[in-house]
Amino acid sequence: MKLFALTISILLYAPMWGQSKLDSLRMNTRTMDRPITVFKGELRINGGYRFDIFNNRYDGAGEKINLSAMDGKAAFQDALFMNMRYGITDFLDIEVNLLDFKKMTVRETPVDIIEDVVWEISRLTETVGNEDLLLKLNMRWPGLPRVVDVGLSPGISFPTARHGEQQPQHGYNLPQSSLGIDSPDAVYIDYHQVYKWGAGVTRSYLEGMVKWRGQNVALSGAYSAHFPLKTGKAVYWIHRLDKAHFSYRSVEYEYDWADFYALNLMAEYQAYSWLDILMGFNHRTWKNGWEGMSGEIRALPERKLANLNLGYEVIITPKMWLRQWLRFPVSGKNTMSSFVVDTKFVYSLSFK
Amino acid sequence: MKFQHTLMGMVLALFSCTNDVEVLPEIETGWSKVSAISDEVLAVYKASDERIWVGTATQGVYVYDGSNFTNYRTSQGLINNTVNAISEFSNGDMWFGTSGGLSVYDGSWTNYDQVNGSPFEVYSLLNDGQGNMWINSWGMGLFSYDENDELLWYWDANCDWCNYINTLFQDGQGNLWIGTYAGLKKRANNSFTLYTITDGLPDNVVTSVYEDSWGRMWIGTYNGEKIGMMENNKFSSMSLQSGYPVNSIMAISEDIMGNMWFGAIDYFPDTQEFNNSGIIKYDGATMRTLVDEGPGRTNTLAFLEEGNGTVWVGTAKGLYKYKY
Repeated sequence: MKLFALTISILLYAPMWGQSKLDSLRMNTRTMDRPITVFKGELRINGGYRFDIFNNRYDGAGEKINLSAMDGKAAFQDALFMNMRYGITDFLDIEVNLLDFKKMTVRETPVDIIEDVVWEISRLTETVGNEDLLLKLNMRWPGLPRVVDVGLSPGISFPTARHGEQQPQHGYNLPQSSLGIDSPDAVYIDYHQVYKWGAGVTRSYLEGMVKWRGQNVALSGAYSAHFPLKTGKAVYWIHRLDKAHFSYRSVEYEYDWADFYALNLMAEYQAYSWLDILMGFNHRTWKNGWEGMSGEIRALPERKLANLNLGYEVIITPKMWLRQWLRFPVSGKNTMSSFVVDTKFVYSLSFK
Repeated sequence: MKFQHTLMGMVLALFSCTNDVEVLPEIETGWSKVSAISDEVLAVYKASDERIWVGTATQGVYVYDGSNFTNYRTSQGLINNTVNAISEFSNGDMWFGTSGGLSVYDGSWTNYDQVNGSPFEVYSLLNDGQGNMWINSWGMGLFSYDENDELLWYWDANCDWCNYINTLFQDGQGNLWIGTYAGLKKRANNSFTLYTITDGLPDNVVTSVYEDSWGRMWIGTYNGEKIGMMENNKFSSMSLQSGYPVNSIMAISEDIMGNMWFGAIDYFPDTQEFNNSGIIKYDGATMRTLVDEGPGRTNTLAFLEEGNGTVWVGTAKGLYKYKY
């Protein structure tokens, strides 16, 4: 236990040893005063965990539909994420999303079909894996007064896996009471489909950001866009059941990943030097995607989702802080919506 | 300087266009009824020019050009307003099998009301892709018409009921399958083979035939309690599990997700509710009768899977479209 405490202490305070006066000032920077890029020689590591509970779905007209009312559907998602930023100058840093591992689970509760035989059917759809690897340069305009920051972040994301469905793992079972009977009175079928996260194609990225600071209040806005640089190919699977054995066959199709646009607005109130209260709004749009086979392609529905966010940041030590968000969906179109709890730790190291 | 070039390249990359193909508009998924057609639909066919032709029980034929429906009846030149079958010949002419004979449309109408000196009804037409149009004539066997205007007559002298033909289908190997009142006939290498109940068919009255993407032949019969299936030259049958003992499978199709669609009709409804009819969907493992969606319980006689996520469904209540 003592060794553990000692290790933590070294990790937290070691970077402070031998630092300059300027470093000391930077370490004591309040959250709202922090520049939108990291300092020269600073390595900032973000890592955390996010949990989504999907309660509703917005249809094409923007009407909210309760997921549990749709065949007893339930969905949730776990995500582990980590990214790193390194300051090349005080106005330019490089950022890479090393990890964004997500597992989304959608389950429809068993449906009984009562005819000659009771068919108990459950459907489990999982989307699992790492999101695309995003590499970007964050730049801020030099020479601006403290009250304002303007930034631009071009980037590119690389696929980490082939997009699309993996070979399914459906299951077929006879209940114990039906074993050995030619005409069972019940069978269980578990449809289990697995998809990979990620676009499967390289995409370009651009983000613009503006921040204004008052005495204890700051307002910021960012707009980002993500575009595919080429079309991709993926497969889906069809199945057949013969005497309790499933066989599968893949069908290839072409797709163009949807363009993605995000607007993020945030207001901060620096309640104490160590506590920042956050309130935000974000609006995301996916559009211009399509899928097709045999030369005929169809547009994918445009999707939209808007969230209100509430959060805080606590500076635990000058080199480590905790940020936590709660996100609530407020409107959408053609997409599921979730209540999100996002917890992130940030650790800063100086290499000068 | 190098950095500036890199940055410029990345910004320009944002504008690189991947949408250099024609993207058709998004369509809302689910069922929709085609309001232009309320008559019973007997046949749906997609021609090479992408137009959809729809044969009806009393209102002739409709053609849909993507935005409008145009109707052709006897007053426009069609031979009979009951259009059972539609096909396109290799020269682009549209053929219509009706209860009063055959109509051919090439911008103007040419009608044939007799064959071998007798009036005839046409229930099925098939372009085999080798320059032949196959024509069934109810009770008069099978005819083929080729690009050289040669008409051949196939009459089964050993099996009278084999000359009453319900349906024609061509499989991926080019074999012709003929659903008759006395079993299923297969024409391969210029010879015919007859399959009956003794070979494993659920019933001898074969009303529909279809080959799925696994290479299995599905055989719909008058006794629709079960659907027949042939794979590796072996017949088997599968319960439709609709819970109703008497429905006949008049149409079979497969969508691009691998689901099989079976269209059932009720020959003898106890009421006007046609409880034995409708659409039965098979997802590869389980059967499900569509009771509360789409056309619901109604005689379902024709499917057209466009191959792009659209299925047209011909029913006693008219034409429906399903988008997935």
